[in-house]
Amino acid sequence: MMLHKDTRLVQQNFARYCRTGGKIQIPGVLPERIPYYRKMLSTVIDETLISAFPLANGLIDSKEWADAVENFFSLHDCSAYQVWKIADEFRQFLIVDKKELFQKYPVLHDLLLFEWTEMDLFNTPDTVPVPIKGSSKFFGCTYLMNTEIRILQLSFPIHLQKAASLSDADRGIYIVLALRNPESKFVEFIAISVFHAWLLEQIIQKQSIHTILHKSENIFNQKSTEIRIQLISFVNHFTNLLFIKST
Amino acid sequence: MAVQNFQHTGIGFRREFAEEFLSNGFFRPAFIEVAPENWIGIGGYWKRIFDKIAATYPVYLHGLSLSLGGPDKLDKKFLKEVKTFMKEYNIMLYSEHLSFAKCDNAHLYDLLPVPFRMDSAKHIAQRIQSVQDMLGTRIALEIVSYYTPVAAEMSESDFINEVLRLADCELLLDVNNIYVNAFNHNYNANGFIDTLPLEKVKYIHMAGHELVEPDLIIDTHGEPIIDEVYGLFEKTIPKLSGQVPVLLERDFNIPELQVLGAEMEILEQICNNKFRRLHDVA
Repeated sequence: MMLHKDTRLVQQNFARYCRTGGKIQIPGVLPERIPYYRKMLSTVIDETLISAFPLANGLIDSKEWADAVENFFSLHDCSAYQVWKIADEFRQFLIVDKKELFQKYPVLHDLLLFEWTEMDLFNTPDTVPVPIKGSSKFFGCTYLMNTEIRILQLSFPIHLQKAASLSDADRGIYIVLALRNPESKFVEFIAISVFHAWLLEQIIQKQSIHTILHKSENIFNQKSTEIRIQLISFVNHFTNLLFIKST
Repeated sequence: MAVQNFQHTGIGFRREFAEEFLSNGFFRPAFIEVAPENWIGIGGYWKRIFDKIAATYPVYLHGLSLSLGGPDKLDKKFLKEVKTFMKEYNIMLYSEHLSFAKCDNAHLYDLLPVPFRMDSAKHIAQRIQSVQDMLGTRIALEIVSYYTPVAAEMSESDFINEVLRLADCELLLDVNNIYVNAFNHNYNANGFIDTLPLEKVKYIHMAGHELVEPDLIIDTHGEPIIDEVYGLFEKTIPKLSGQVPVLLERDFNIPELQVLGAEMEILEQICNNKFRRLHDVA
């Protein structure tokens, strides 16, 4: 290592100041100039997070938001070289270190997950659709399923109503499918049933139609014919959404 | 109106004007520049756009996060991704900054000034060599704008010369940065440029800045290039040993594409004029 201990310490102190604003003494540093660095760095972080979480930012009191962002930048070591990914680091930081915010704003957890999912899925690397195993035998043609999806379990219907209008009375279990439209490439959110969410997971895990039918009869305690009808309805529904296609 | 085809001048590609840029009937830059951090591992809508851009224009990479001047270890995983990305899109030029952007395992998302010290120069040069070995090509190093010296033990010029000598890399000469630094630290920009190893200049950046205090300019890339910086550029070009690509950077407060095209036109005219003279003399 070529870098002397003293030089390393100078850089660490400079970086530490930028993150925390704490007092430092570094030879040659102009005290009236160094705050510009702290301001520039803070602005990058704040603007990135506001852009990632416009709904959460709108929900939380501005002072609380500013404190949360400042605490995040000073206490959390951002690990992503892609600045947009700090949104998820911020979300996880809040879950661990800002529990009081979630008590005050019960929908905040869902909102952060919802907004992060939209951005993450929008940017996620392209994937090749996977064949639905056994579909040719069951349907007479092979179906391919787009795997550019996320399945969310929410406690509030934030995909249907404004977050600020929701109260404890709205608390429940809401399953939402986020999917990246194969044509527009924009992310869409669709409310789905527990059964459809389960089916999607099974297909992604490359379970065959035969296995899925067998398992679902036991898990959902439904007759085989009912399950088959639901499966056909599921495939038709997602084919219409361009999410499943036949070869 | 005829489409302007630039021979020397490129533009920093921004998502803000991506769609308009793809269909614009005003100008075709000589190349585009992007930050690898903004495009590596991105799929969907933006990958589709980037693929179109990369199929139309030569692409240069200008990194933000490598932290060549930083105390933390080099991110070799990221470098591998850069290498793959360069290969995928046939990218011939990768540049980075003479600064640090990561410390104590934390990315800082901006360019912090390094101490002008001999140990720092050796440290940075060694890291540049590692990067060049990994990528199998020379990189271009940009002298950044800075607003305060940091524990300096040698002059800025000596420091830069030492890094470039030891690293055997190319120089990205950001003319606006030199102007900003000369203003902020009270020295002569022209004279400073004369102290640099200009035979190593591979690439030039041009940008605008903002005067925030009577004695302080911040390198915002959010304003048009000012006349003094054009003047400095005009004086610098003939000092180079050959023709180099020139980039217009505009990252904030982005105007209409035609306005950017007009700025590029000025740069192109200066290049045409000065490079031709250089050629005539030769």
